[in-house]
Amino acid sequence: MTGATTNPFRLARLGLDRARRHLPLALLLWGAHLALAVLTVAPFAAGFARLLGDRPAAAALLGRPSLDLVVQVLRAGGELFGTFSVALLVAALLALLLNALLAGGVLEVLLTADDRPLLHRFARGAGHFAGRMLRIGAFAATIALVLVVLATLPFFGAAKRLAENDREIAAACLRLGGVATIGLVLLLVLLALDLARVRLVRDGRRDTFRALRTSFWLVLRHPFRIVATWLLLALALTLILALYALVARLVPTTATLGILTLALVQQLLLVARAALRVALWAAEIEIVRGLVPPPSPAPAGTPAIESLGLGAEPSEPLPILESDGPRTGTDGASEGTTLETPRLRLRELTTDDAAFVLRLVNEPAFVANIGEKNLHTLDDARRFIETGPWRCPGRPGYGQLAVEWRALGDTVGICGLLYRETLDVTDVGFAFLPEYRGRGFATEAAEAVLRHGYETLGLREIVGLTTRENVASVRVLEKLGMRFSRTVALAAGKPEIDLYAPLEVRS
Amino acid sequence: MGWRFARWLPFPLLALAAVAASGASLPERSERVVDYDIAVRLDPETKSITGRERIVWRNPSNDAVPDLWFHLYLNAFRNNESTFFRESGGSLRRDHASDEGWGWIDLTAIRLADGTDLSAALDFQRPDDGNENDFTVARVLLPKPVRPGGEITVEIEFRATLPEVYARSGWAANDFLLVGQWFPKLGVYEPAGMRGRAAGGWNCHQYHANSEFYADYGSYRVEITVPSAFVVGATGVRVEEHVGDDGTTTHVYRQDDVHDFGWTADPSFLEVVETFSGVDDVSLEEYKEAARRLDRPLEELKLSDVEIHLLLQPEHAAQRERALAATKLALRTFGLAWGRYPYPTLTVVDPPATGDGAAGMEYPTFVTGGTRWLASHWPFSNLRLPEAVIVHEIGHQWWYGLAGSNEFEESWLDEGFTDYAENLAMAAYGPSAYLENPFVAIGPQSANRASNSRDRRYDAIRTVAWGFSPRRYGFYSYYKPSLVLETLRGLLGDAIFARAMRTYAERFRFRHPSSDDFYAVVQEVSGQDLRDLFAQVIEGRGAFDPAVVRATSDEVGGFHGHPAPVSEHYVIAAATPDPGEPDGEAAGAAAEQGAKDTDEETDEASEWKSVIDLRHQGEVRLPVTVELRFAEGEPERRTWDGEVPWARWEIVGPSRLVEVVVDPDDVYAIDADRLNNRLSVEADAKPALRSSLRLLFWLQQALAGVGF
Repeated sequence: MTGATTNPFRLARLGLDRARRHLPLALLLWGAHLALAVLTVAPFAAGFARLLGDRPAAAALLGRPSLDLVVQVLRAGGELFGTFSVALLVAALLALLLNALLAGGVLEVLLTADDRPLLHRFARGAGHFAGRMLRIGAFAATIALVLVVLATLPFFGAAKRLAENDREIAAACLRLGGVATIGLVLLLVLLALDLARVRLVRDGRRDTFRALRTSFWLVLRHPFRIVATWLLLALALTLILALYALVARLVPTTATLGILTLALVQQLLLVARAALRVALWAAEIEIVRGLVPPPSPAPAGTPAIESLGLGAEPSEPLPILESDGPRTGTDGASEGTTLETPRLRLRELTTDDAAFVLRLVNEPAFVANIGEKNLHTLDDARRFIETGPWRCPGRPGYGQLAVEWRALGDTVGICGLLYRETLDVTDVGFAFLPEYRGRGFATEAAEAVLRHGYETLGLREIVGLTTRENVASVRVLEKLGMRFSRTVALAAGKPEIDLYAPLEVRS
Repeated sequence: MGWRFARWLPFPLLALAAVAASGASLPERSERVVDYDIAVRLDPETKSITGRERIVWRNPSNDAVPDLWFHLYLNAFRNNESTFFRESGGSLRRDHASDEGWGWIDLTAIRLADGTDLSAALDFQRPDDGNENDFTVARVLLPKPVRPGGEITVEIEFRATLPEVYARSGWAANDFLLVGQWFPKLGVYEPAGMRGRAAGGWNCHQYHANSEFYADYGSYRVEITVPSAFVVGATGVRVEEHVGDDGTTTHVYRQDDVHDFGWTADPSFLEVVETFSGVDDVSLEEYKEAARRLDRPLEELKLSDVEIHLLLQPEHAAQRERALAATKLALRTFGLAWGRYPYPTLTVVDPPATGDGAAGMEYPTFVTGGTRWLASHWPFSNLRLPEAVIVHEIGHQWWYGLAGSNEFEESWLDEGFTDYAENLAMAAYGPSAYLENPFVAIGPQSANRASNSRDRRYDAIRTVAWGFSPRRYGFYSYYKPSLVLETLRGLLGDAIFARAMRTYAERFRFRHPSSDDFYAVVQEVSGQDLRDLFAQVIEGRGAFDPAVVRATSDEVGGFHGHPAPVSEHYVIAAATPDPGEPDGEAAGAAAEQGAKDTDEETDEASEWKSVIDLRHQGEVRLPVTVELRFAEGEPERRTWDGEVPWARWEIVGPSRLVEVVVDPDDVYAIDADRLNNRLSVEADAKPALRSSLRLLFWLQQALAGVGF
């Protein structure tokens, strides 16, 4: 597992780098907002041209108009501006919905790396997560409102009392403090919302409120890295805006060419702004990766993340099957097996995976379905990886592989081929960390392993072994095209388990 | 209609008087109709004052005057049925009017100098509205009338409780006190002929929500006794100060030729004393410029030194220089324009934030500003309201203090003139004087212009202060009169108008001018007949909004149809055809050739017919200049007399009309809508496009930010 950085500068740079590589995402964001804005402004612009096109005095609006001109224009276009303000309100509401959809799309693209077209993935994410994104947005808005009221009432209440007692400076400072608090609360809620949305998409969670709540704690516990990263990107936006202000002053807008140039500059700036938004999301993904799951190995059975309420108890049993049989043949034959699927990468387990293995084998579901491995230290785990039964020495291409989620680089589970001497069959085994279940990873990984077994190793039959109670595992095996065949005992005196076999045996 | 023209009857008389008076420039002193000698003691615990005053009044008229009329302003706060409260509608955060918030004044004794008790002869008067619950005007019948030119001395003892300040006078938290309109003060006895009066009589109005002052000039001597911890500021010069045995200090102030007396006390005041110097604070260039504009000898303009007393709240100490700079700017600008400030001191009071109601008040030689601690800091420091308030109130020293017009009846003469003064001085801060910002220029008169519209047409400027339509006192007393003066400046030219204002200020220094006096002076100095303008704009109701509503310009494409039967045709027709050319084809060709020639001729003498529709969209109709701009050649200027509220001009000329500009020199600041003053024949979408793009840009930013 790669250590996630906590340095805001590196996080921001990483985000920017991702945004650059996903430029179409920025264009999508920009295009969506442009479309909405054009729909809002265009009718108004036409009315404005009709109203003021032949009134040369209105040209002064372009420079620094005097107050009375502005008021007279507003008065002249009273109805027009009235309609426009309603349109603005509607556009703002639509933007709320739109931004929720966009969040789902962008996060799906950033978190998955399959080879389907970006637009496809974007639309899939936007559609798939739309409900959750809107729900969590509504929660966040409510929380923000409550927090703003709670946080600022004391400020303004105290300020009022001070003002009545002629404590002008104190009252003014308190009021400013109140305003600053509003800003801070809004920022924190928005950042928490972002983190929660990242986790909804990454982990496929449905518990939106809980995700928001826990993300809020994340923001409060790690404010530096989160707020500082935001601040750096916000600073970048401010710099761009300042640059724009400078350019806007230089471009003469009395001629059509100048106006068009300025429009171009404006839109470039907005694309940059959208890219910064994507960068913020990418950085937030990295932040979440650094925080959940934790970068350091947890004591067996009690992963650190559970204390944050993130590691949900497994709701379904884990399908993990493997051989406890004796080793045969020599070592190292299966070195270098690497398989890839749209979302996953399967590679050899190495001693670097010790922390992961230690955690996996001590998961309650693992112990329940597969058994106690008696690994309690990292050294135990390293030794197990080097010499344990998962390696299937002597059978090249066999052995449990580490399953990596390509988008995050996290090791999420194991999957591979095992040989049962007592039964003389090859079976596929898999096990995943609880937070990565329910995303179809097991099926995806096992499919790749089966393909590897049949096509590369030329095997004729690969079966699956599971207990009847392990429903999730049964479903995976059925999805792989296997059906219940018979019950078997792995060793004399051991309880019988179900053997699932493919419908036809290959020749 | 009748009354309006009746006002013009005294015009020739006044003009004669003015000619007689010219030559004498700045009067040195007032007639000193009344002298006040007052001793007052403050009890800060109960916010009350006890005092006795000795009033000497000289009858300025040829009438025998049987009574004296007094203002008892503080009784405006006596109950919620006073005329002041009824008019302010209780909307001035008075809902929680606690017992400690009320204010009142009681006369405990009134007698003549010989001891004759007059208290039985005292009654309350309600000349304006007959409101039985209003006790702001009292009259005392004298045992025998005061003969013309005679003198009477009255002694009064009074006790008053100050209101919690929300309108011009009272107390605020932490012992800040602005004590204004606090003593029994005589009204003005106007002799016949003064301000257009047919018969002599007292002019003494009740205290209304929208009116303040009218009083006679005289000498004041006031002893103020307060606990020694208080820092005191007041009208005039502090001549004595004694510390009493009971922990109090008595401050004695004197001032001649003023018509009111205000004072303030606050233990936390920081007192800053600085001198405005007529030599150091005004450059020679400024003197020369003023002398040129006014066409006066330089020495006549020389400003005198003034001792500025700035009483600052400690939390506003950082704004000391700003306040001093604004004070000096005002003394310089107004002194050069309308005659030197004649008093030795000027006290500028900075009320605390809680004493908001005390902010922005004028008393002779004594004004209150208004600022906040935040105003010391960016970006709030970009807002020059503290300066504007100080400059405005000092402007009142000329328009209220020195020209003592009747604010009850003609509020525009002090508030409108002072607003004009404020804008004049604020111009020194540049094109966005009121708020430094890169987006909108809020400069002199721009807020006033913005407040004007065609809908503001229901009142005349010359209306009693409580007679305006609801919530329009400010517009018709401050903003529109200020625009009217700016319009006069446009019409007469800067120099002529400056001379007219100067003459008016000089001639009515220490006197009580009326609107008619002002009209007369402007016409006399400018030599122009402006009666129609004054009648429509000041005496009449209605908005002024000349507009060009349509303009077209089309090429006149030769003559179509049948020409007139000219004799030549008959001659040609009668001529014997050339025997060599009977051919129809040849004749057709010739005709074609002829037609072509004609076309070419039309081309050469190409003419454009332009049609222009003008309208007065408001009720006021004044002559206005219209400029026609053509594609080639010099623009042409015409005058539209505007007697009929619309006009259609059809102009045939050699060039295409491009643009029509009504009032091209922006003479009429009272124009309710300047946008419709210019019309181009062909539309230009660029400003709309550019504005829309700007809007689009910021909307995109906003949409991208909504919900993050």
